[in-house]
Amino acid sequence: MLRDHLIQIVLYSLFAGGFFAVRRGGDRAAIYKRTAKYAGWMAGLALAIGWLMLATG
Amino acid sequence: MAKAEANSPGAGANGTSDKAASRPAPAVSAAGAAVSGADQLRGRKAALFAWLIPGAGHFFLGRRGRGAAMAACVAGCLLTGLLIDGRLYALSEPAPLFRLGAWGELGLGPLFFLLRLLGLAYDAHSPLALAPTSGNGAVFLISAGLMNYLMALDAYDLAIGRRR
Repeated sequence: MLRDHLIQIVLYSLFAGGFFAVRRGGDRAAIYKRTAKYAGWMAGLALAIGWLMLATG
Repeated sequence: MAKAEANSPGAGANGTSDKAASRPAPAVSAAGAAVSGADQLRGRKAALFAWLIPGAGHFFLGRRGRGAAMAACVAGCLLTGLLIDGRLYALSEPAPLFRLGAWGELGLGPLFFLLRLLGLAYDAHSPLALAPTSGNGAVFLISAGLMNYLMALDAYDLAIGRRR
């Protein structure tokens, strides 16, 4: 169950991060870099919120 | 920019009437130049195509790479949502938040109706019980729809030169 959630978080972060990175424009390297940055932020926030929810029951 | 100038308090004092100042400002490109009617029409067409088929608006404008990359993100979200039994909301859902979800999913354009017609996603009329992952799947589907709305706006902005 936890593994499924983690996979979903990673996929969602990559799709949404990639979308907004492409939307921002720039060359390929800049898009990859922004994808990693946006996806990292999104996944980090999702994990933080998930951990808070688990910790608070 | 033009809108801000037109609505500024000093606009009327500079020779323009209050009526002219209250008129909506014309669309402007990134460079601040007024956009021609032909470009606006092209932009509206691109936005419509983008809503009908994800990526089509950008292909219409000749921005194939950008369109393909953005469409891939939308398609990925959509497929993941479908694979984990994401729920398709109806516009007539009794719960207001579910109705909002339906408006988000409507961003997928005809795909929204096609998925409902073909029964490829769970909805309120589905004879099957909702899967435990339907809530998460619905978020994927709603996100795909919202991203497609943004694609349509992006195509419009590209057509009128507001975005490069």
